[in-house]
Amino acid sequence: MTISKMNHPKANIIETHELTKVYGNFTAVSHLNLHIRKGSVYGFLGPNGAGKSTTMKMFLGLTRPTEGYFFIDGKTYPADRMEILRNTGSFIESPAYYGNLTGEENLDIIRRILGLPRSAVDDALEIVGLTQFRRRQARKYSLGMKQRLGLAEALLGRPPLLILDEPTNGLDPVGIHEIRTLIKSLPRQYDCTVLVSSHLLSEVELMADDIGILNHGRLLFEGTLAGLRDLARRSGYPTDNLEETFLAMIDEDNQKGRLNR
Amino acid sequence: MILEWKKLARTGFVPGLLCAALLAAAFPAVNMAVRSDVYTALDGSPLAILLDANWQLMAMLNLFASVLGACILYHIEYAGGAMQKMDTLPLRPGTLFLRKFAVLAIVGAASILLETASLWGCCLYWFGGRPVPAALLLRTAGMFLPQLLPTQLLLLALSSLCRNLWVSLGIGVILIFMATILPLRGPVLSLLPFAAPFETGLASLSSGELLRSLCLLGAQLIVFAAAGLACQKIRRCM
Repeated sequence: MTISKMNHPKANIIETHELTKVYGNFTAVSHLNLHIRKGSVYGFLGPNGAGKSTTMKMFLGLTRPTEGYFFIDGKTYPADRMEILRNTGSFIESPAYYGNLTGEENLDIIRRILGLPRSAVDDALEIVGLTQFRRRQARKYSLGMKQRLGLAEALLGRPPLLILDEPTNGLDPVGIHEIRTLIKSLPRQYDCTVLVSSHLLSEVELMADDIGILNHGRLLFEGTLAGLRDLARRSGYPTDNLEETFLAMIDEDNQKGRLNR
Repeated sequence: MILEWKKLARTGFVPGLLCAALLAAAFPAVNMAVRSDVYTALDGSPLAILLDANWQLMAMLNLFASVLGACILYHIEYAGGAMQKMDTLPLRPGTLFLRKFAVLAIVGAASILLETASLWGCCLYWFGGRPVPAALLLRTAGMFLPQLLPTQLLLLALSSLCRNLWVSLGIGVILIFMATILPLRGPVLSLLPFAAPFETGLASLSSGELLRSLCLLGAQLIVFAAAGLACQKIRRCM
């Protein structure tokens, strides 16, 4: 594992220490040490089943770590769970909504729980471009619109930390571009940190400041994109484009895994 | 709790449960209209006569409404994955459960109130010469709610664990039929969930026996509430 030195180690909003999650005899996340800088977009990258969603679920208290611990803005789980959730907007795996309610009513439910002003709903709808569909029932939304609603739910109240699990799934190319641009602009516009997962390096490299590459629950790389290029050069991975670097890195790790078994 | 009501918009929860309550309330009136000669000829308290003749079916409708209500309350959480969103908000896992129980209990109380009003109306109309003491009527109505609450709590805990609406609905219906088939008699067995709502004699018990029955129902409430809250914690980390 290669961990490049982060620029501002003291300004990390998320830090994990040997974070591990085991389901029966399957290790979903293994001794993970992440460092996510405050005010950055952190791309969490890995193939399907690498442990990205499990890690994010642990951050949100949806599943308990088997070993290790983490800090989110200096707060720990489970002691500060409520405080962590109050300051974290999230979108995990797929959009979550009440199908019988309109987009606006869905956001209003969350607004009331978070104790936010009414204007927060309009603000979130505007950001994701759902204003004109606000009075349509969520079950009648297209997949892309549901995805946007999920993002609006995460953005509600402009929390200082956003955890987004594959937020562009199901969106058309225009939608992907819009959401990508939005995510990239969030730290600057709203002074927040974004942890965004994807299995596509080509997507992550267009919006992330730092990246973490995960495979079989283990962190293979953490650092900047420049750091990844540097590593690729030194390790003999293809350097033509980062997608190939990523694939070569994953492939090598998979082969090592097979040999160890 | 307002939030829980808002979530139920367009689910058919209120109209559905209102229909069940109206149907249950209409039953004694229809029964009396059709067979008034039979019932008015009987000796004894008019309220006891009406309860003996109608309450089994009315209680059955109340139980079906409770099963349906509990299923809808959690189906809306699971259908679009909203439950996961709720779990990522600063909301204690048990809060949602207790709020939903309060909604179900309010609907149950409103149904019982409507049904009691119907029984009272029948007493006045068909048994005008044999007045029913208001205190007895209120005591009877007041006992029906604590008899229903443990069952509602158990149903809600069950629904909270079943992602599939049909599973909780099926189990609920089977349990209702089991309660009607099994010989659940005696001071303890007759107060078990699903059996207790059919009991009509609690209001006429002596103070000591009434207190014992209320304690038993209260203990069930505490046990099922604790079990329900524990289920929420387990479900959240599953």
